[in-house]
Amino acid sequence: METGKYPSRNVVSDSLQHFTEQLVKNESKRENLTGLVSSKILIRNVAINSVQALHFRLEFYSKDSFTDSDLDVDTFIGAVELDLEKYGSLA
Amino acid sequence: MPVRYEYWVYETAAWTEVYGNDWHGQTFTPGVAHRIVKVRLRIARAGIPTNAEVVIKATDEEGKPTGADLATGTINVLSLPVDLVPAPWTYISLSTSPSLSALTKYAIIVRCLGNVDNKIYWNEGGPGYPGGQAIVSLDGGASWLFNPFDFNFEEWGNHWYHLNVKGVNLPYEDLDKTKELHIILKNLSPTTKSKGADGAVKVKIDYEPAA
Repeated sequence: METGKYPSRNVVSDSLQHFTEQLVKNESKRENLTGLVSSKILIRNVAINSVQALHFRLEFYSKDSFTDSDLDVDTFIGAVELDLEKYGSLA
Repeated sequence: MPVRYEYWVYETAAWTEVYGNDWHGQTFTPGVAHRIVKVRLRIARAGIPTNAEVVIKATDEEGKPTGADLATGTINVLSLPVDLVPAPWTYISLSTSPSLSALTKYAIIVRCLGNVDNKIYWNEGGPGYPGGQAIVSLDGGASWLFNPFDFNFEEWGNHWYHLNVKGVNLPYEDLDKTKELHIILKNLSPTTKSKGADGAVKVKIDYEPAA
């Protein structure tokens, strides 16, 4: 995948619309964030702001059909650990 | 859970009357960034004023309210006491929870429709709050003057925890061709993520388009 030709861009979720539900341990919420300028990208950085200092995992899928607990190799692309319990700082 | 950020708590026997075009407010300056979710004011009422609400606004260089309302909260006037002693406290929830920046001045404004018999009282707390002061508009918010005291107020909110993971370098392709990022956020903590503003989360994904 060739990168570096274009300026860096970002997609930001809306805290009033996305991930607004209660999530107990190991529960998850799917979202489809609009705004990519291309269907093929290279994710550089992932940042999170959270009212609660929790340990999250953000998973990336190639289709909005997703897969939940069983990671489907056809659609699961990768994941990033976002451990605010250990590494979070006050914004 | 929301925590108290800025406040001025000093009960006096002096009360300001709020009604009609006489809007009153208190400016404040957060020490840390947070999302404001509610205010607690020492207010009471006479009669039954209508359209009573609290408004949060940004301020200009002079420290006077400016721009659109950042948040509003309806005051349930029938829940307000008519007795001024002891000076009562009332929580007012805000309809939205805007992010407030640290070391930036904002204003809490109280307004209502009414008259000399139907109005809201707001307890004055003498001077002393270092991050702002009382303000008054006699023309329905068109212009503002400073008052030499502070109102009794508390502003409550939630702060943000932040984490930035750099160098992820994960190739991603949206096979739906919808130019959407399909993501799942999973809570791995034993602690439950709360719903609504108490558990608000925002993610930001930096990327480069691939050729």
